[in-house]
Amino acid sequence: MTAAAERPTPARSVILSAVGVDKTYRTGAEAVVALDHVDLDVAAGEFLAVMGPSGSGKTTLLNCLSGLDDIDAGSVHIDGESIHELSDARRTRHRAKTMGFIFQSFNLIPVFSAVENVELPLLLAGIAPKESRRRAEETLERLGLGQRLRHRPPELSGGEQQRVTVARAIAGEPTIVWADEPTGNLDTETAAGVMSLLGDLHRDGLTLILVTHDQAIGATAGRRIEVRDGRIVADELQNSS
Amino acid sequence: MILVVLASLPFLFLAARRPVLRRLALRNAARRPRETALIILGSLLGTAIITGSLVVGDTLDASFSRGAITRLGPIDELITASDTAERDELAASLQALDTESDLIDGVLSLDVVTAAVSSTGAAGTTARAEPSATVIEVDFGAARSFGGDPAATGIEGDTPAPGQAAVGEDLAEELAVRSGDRVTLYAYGAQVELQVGRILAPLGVAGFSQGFGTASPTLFVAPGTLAMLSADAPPGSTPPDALVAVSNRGGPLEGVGLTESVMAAITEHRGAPVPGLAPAKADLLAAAEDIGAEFTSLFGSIGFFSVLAGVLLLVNIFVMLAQERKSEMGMLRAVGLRRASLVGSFSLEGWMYALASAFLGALAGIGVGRVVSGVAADIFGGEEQALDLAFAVDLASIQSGFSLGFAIALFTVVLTSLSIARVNVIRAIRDLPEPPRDRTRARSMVAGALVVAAGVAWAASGIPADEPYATMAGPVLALAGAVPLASRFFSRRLLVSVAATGALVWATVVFGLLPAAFEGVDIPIFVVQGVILTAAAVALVTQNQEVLGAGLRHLGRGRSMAVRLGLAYPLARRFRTGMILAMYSLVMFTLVFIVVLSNLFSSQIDDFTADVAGGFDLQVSSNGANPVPPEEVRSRDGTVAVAALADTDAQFATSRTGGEFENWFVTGIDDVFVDQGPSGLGDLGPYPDADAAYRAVLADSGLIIVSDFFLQGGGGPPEESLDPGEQVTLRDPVSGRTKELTIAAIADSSFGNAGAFISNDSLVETYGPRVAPNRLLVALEEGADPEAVAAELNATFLASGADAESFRSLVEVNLAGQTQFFRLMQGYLAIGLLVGIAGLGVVMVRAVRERRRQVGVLRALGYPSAAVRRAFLVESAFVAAEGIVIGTVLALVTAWQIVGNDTFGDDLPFVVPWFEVAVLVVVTLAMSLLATAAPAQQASRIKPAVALRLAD
Repeated sequence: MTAAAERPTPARSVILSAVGVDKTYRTGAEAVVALDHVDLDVAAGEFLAVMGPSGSGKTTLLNCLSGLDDIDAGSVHIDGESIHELSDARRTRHRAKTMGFIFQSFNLIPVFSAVENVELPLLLAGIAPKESRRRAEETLERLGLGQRLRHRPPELSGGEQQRVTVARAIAGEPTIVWADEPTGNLDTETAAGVMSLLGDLHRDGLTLILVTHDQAIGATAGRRIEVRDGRIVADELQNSS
Repeated sequence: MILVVLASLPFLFLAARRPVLRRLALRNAARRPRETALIILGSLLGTAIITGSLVVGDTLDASFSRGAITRLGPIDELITASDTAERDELAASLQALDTESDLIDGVLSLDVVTAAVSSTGAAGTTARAEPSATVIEVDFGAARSFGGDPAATGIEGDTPAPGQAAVGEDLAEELAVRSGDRVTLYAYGAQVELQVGRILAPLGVAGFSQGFGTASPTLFVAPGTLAMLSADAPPGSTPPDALVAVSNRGGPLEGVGLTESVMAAITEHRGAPVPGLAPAKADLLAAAEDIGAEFTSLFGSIGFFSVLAGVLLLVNIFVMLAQERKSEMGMLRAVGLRRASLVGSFSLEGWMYALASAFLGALAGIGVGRVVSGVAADIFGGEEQALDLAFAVDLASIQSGFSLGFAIALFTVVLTSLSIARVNVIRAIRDLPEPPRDRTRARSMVAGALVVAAGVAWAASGIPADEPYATMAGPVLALAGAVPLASRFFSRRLLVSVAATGALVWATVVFGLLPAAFEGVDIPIFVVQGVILTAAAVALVTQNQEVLGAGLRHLGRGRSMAVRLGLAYPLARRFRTGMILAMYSLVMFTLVFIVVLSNLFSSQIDDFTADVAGGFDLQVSSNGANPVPPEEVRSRDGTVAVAALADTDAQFATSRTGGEFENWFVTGIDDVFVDQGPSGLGDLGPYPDADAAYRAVLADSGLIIVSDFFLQGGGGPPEESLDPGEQVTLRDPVSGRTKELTIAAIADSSFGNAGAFISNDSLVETYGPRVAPNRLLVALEEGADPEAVAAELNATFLASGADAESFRSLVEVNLAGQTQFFRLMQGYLAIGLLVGIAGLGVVMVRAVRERRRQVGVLRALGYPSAAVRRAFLVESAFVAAEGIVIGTVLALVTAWQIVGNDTFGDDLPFVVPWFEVAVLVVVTLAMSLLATAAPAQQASRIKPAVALRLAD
């Protein structure tokens, strides 16, 4: 029996639907099954925490569900679009319009300033340059970085960099934001600040899928799944703020 | 090589005694074999260029030396006597010396004349002619026993009997004759038909030739033949040279070492200096060595830009390596590796690269030398000069190229290693950027002050003394030192911008500002100028990249993310961009400069023709033994005027030669030459115009007009020339008679004017009747075709060995050779361009690796793969274009400035060959994009999930 069979039925419309997703990594003669027939539905506005020990397949799950990585079998629909059936170019465009990403290592472009980093996905989504810049500045100001707009990543602290990453992820008002260990590189206080920020964004209606191994952070999500050996072994709703 | 071994000892010690460092170095080198190969490829080109320059020198030296040895064989010294009686007495006297002394092993008498020879032409075949064959009378028995080795003389069989001839192989080929065929010899207005008795190998006495030309068209005739032909010689014809050849003890090569002793012994034996005594073989060998050294220096100087580009590439690669391994270096330091060991590890890796690249570069240099020599042989191997370049490599050159390349590479990597090993452990481990320096270090201020002081002192001592290097570089050095000195008070950007602008302006205008310092400068000063200009321009652009890039980024804003991203990295990574800019700028500077110079001359055919022609349409050269009679040409229909000039070898001594006589040539001129309005003069001396100056020379046999290239060898602009009013001593190399002359004026540096002009009367005073007018300048009626007339004169005066050519054709041939030579230099410089392009390729390969994670993020955010590829292409195009523009603009400005300053000749108009420059720019840009295509494609294929998974 798969975990999907036990999962609670989302009350709202399904924005992400994954069916029978398989992913195997091959290194020489060795094959490692990273995802093993995963089924998952995520409702719009849901805050889903993907948990599991190191090497369990949570980041692979995020990559495959978001279309960053290819899958070996199964299907993933986001906003009604089967993303793995799209060409690379169309999948990329789809990603630009519907998704935001937050990574553990911030992954900001070091030669761009904070505001340039944030406006990047907006420009990629085809928004006019002036409008992109306005929205990028507005988003950064909303996240408390109004004074750091022109600073480049190396000139910002870790917390500030992660807030820029969050701003980059949400500035385009995506359908889903994917966050992979967003607090992994931060101290406790800064991490709490970032999580509080993500919580606020979720309360404003953002669909958030967060990968973490931190139980405390996982507990802040409305729904939590547990991944082990490439399978979803637990899926439960939580009482969160 | 000993230095290479010594320099390698510390690294061998490290490799043997520090296994950890050895492992680190070896594994880092082996980690990415393709990149290691690229590093070695980039570095080896510098060594290849150095070795190639030396090999070109070897080839020229060896070819000329070989020619001298094979053509002269046992002949080491030659004495030209004034007549046969004097020659016979001299020969008899020296035979006694041969018996007494153990310095010489042969004395040989020869009668030699240059004359026309034709094949008689059997039925059904066309007669062929050689207008300037060397006709020799010599006793074959004596010739064979001349020197220690009969085989080296090339003489076989008996002395030709009357009506018979022995023909040298080169002449036989030219005339297409074999034994038994008949040839006709024309001399002194007479002719004789001879039967070819045998063909002789072109070496030793049989291949007798006093020039560099490897073809020696010799014809041996029976004793008395020349006397018979010259019995009724027309007045003004040159009698045969009566020569005594001396062979030094030892073979053709070893004997030359005794030349000085033999010359001294002959002088002592005769009890007085012997007029006409010349160290024939030693002179040729010395000239061969000079030519070899000249070419090595020329190609070495030009190649310096490419070598410098290679050094910059190496620095860039090592700095990038350090950045890539920053956290690894931090960890090593954290676990206890001392800074010195870190330097050792890097240097050891660099030593391996230096060793491999120097070895492969030296081998590649042989190939470079081979190609350059091959092209040079094509250029110089025209019919007239018939220079036969035989490829030669001296092991010493390979060793020198290897050692120099190794030393440059090793020095570069050790210095770079010292600099990059200064890492802060924590910052390195966490991959944090170095914080900006708050305050200028006292140490760098002191260093700056010292550099300023050195620059000022250098300039202060050099400028008043007209020392070109101090004048050019002293003030620039002071400006460079002012940057660290004043950085406490002003922003670095402002200081660098001001200093770089100052250096640019100075290096551009200094030629015009202080011309006295740059009179007669050699090529290295232009190398220094090029380095200063490009370094200053690159510093200026690098410091102001943000301003420059703002506009460009605005262009790309929103509309093209690829442009925006492509510009972001080069604008942010100033050091790396600066290094590539410097590589491109240096090479483009020299390439464009040479293209402009090449065009400068070739576009001036009409002007040069007018200058050289001096009112005439064609010139007719002929043999002194059978000169073309001026009156016959004059009486020809359509001829307006004929000037009869006498060109002959001469020796000159001046204050600049320290009273020593140097070989040159002199031309006797007549009234007609002046009437037609001879070419202009660079310095009129006390005369109001050129006509007055030439007429003064005609009227006063104590006056001479010399060119500003007088007594100068090599290429480039003329060196410091003599001034009107100065004294020169002219000596007849045969009789030894001398004449004191005063310089009346200085002729322009046109190639047709490189000689020295005196009146025909003055020439006869010194040389006697031995000299005859052997060059006629012919002015034709308006509308006549000089080419057709030249052909007609050649046919009419075949017996005189006439060589008529229109001045336009002469100029075209000369300029064609010059243009080909410029092309050769361009090809040589293109190797430097390869360094730059390979460097850009290496940098982009590394950039793709370095930015893998960032590319992954961009792809995750929705950046299309095609845009990633475009971004990398935009980046390399931007850097290459900047370098190309800097180098091109600097070259054009410098060329314009130098041309305006008349450094390469008076009143040359500055013309930019836009088409050639455009081709150069487009090809360079296209090749740069091609070099980036593979890494850009690789970047576009990065899978976001893979890049992020590896990163996180």
